[in-house]
Amino acid sequence: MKNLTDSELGGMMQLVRGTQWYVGMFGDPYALVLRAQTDDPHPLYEQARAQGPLHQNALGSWVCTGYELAAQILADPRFDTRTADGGTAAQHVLALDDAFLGLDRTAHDRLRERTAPLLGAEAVERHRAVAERVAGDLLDGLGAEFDLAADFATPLAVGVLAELLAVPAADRPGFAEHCTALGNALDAEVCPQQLVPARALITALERLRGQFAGRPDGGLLGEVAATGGDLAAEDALATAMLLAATGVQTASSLVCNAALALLADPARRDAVRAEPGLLPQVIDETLRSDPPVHLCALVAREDVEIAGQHIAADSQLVVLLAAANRDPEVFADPERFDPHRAEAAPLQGGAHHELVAPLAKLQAEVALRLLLDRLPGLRQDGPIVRRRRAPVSRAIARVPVTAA
Amino acid sequence: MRVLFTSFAHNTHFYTLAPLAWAFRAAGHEVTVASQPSLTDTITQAGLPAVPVGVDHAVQEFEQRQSNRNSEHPEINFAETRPEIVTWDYALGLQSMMTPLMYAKVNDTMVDDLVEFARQWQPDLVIWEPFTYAGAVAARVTGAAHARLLWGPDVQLRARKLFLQRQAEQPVEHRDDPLAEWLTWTLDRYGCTFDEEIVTGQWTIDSTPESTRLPLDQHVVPMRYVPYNGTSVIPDWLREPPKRPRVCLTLGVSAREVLGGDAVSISDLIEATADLDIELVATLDASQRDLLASVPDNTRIVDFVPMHALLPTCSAIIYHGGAGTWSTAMLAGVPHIMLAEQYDTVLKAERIEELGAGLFIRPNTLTAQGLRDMVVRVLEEPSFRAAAERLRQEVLAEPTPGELVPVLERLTAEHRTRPEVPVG
Repeated sequence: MKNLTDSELGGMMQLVRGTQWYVGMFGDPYALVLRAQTDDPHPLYEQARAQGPLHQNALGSWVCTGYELAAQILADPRFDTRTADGGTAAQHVLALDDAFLGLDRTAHDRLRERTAPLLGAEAVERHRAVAERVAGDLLDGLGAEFDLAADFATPLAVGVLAELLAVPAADRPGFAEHCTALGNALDAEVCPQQLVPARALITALERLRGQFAGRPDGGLLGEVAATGGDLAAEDALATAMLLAATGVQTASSLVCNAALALLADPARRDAVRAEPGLLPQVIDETLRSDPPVHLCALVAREDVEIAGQHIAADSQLVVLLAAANRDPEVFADPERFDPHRAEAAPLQGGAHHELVAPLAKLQAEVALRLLLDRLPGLRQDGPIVRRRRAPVSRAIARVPVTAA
Repeated sequence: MRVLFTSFAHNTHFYTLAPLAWAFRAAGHEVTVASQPSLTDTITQAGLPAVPVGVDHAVQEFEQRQSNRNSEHPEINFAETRPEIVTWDYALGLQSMMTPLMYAKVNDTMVDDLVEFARQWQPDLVIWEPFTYAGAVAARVTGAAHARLLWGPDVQLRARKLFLQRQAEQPVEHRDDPLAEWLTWTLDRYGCTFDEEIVTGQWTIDSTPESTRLPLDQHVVPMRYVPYNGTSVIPDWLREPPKRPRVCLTLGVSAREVLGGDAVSISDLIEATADLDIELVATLDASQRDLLASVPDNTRIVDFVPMHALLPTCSAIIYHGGAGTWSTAMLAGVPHIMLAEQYDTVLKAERIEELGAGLFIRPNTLTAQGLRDMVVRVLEEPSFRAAAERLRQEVLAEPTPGELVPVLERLTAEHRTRPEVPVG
């Protein structure tokens, strides 16, 4: 992609976008999900669900909406990020290998094993103090009115990552700019972006790789590399790139979505302020009801018979995580936000998500606690503007809040 | 001066350019017509010097299957303006689909070569068919003046303007302009930048009569429509004046599809008027003719007849509303019966009905008896002929292509951004 001219890259993306739009015109639910012109995708997920737990859409992608089947597919080694010969499915728009989004299950298993002592569910506790400091400093600098996403959640995620990677002070403005440009990385894999942000994404990946490669001992990079073995240096770089390309937006979205769920219901907000032990449940329910990653696009490495369907090798299979997490066969009253649910754990996406999720959850917990404690009157102060062409992240571009 | 005409390779899109190209040649200017190679013979048959550029495009399939049937593609309708329908998503969808699936397909295959030719030939003026943005790009790159030449109501620019209005209403994070994006990276290849003039042309030459024009606040230079629909031979039978009112039935190339799927066949349509005291002249190709069980006594089936020669002898025309036939019928002052549903034809048919110059019937409401009643009405009520005659006078009142040449010379001098290259 780096070598494509603007005309080639832009033309390819426009052709895919035009084709997706065209197919959506006839009501194909997944094509409309990819069109991503609406704020609430759930009516489209319900239309997709009505076509069965696994159906093939008009663009040739298999679409899974059922919770049980989705869980099975996410664990099935016959489905992975790349085809058996390392390629992508025909529907895959941008192959972001610089972000290591093409790493296969084997590589992810190795990465997870290496990074468990650093980023695993228990290990992330060691980063709590850093997250508290970054979040606290941010709030110190904010007035009573600010943007929850642009002024708080995203700088928090970027700041925590910069600390973990020991990014030198002089590099931080550039690092923040690059991380922000990566906010659409997961979206760009399935939904063509406008040329300018797509180019910014590709450039940011290249620059960040350069930065990390130039400082192989910096913080977490050095710690991963020190775990030894043949691929230690490569895995360290992969960890850093995945945290930047997917972890930042995931953490930012999780903070925003969980905070908004609380702010939307003053009684719930006050209950959680009184009992902070509820926070992990609030965050888990956010991951179910309004997740930071809405879908996960896999590809069949071989011919697969599953759920009564024949999936040919190299076919794309898209797990609509946000739809599966509202499967009425698993979740009672699935539209209701209920932190006390105990039906099933929310599905959270592909292998890269497992790497970044614990850190994102930690940040959400720290952020919500600080927001509730320090800004008890915080409320939404204007409409949420969500990004377009963001069928995976459904990222918030703007959401004004006020503590006045 | 040097005048470069350009149209993507599509014969009817090119035909509208030919009379003005002749006028420039006759006035002593140098003229070339650039298009993809497959149009070369069509251009030379019009007596004009062809410049084949690029490679052939493959857009027919999309055009035939996808953009033609408004009824099947409710979200691709350039003629739609109702605010409750033309939402931001609708307007953006039109731009998102048409840019890559139509405009880029017909232009990307020729624009590099057209620019190269223009750099070498140095035109003073580029006149482009409204889908052929490559013409505006070549003009911008070489500093030539440039204008669009319309073949119908300017629905394309009206849709663009509606889109820009809707876009301005969106939060800045939601703005999205595929047409501008595509033209931006295209112009960037030659070191130039995009602005809306690339979409509108510096002015617009309009060969439609004023009462069918859309009010778009553009610089419009009107031109009398001069019919050209390819090489033509006048058949013997046309020399005899008709003994009974002559009615022309002509259906475009896609009409067989349009009507064939419905309950009303071409055979039904021809039978519907079999008992009327008229002469029905039906233009049918071999495959359409094969569908007929028999041919009524009052009907003459012809393969092809030049409309500019036939229509002045007619009392009515039944047709689908295609650009050339519509303009030629207005020039002939013949009342229209329009079976319209494609692209801009519904808008044209509605306007013709408002002006009293004919009747509009949607193909999905068409019945044989309904058509017969319309023919009788149009022939018996003189108001149709009178309104059609008013339209004819409007067409004739505009300057001919020859009269327009000095006007365009002046506009070229005003808009060209580099000095004229001396000729000879």
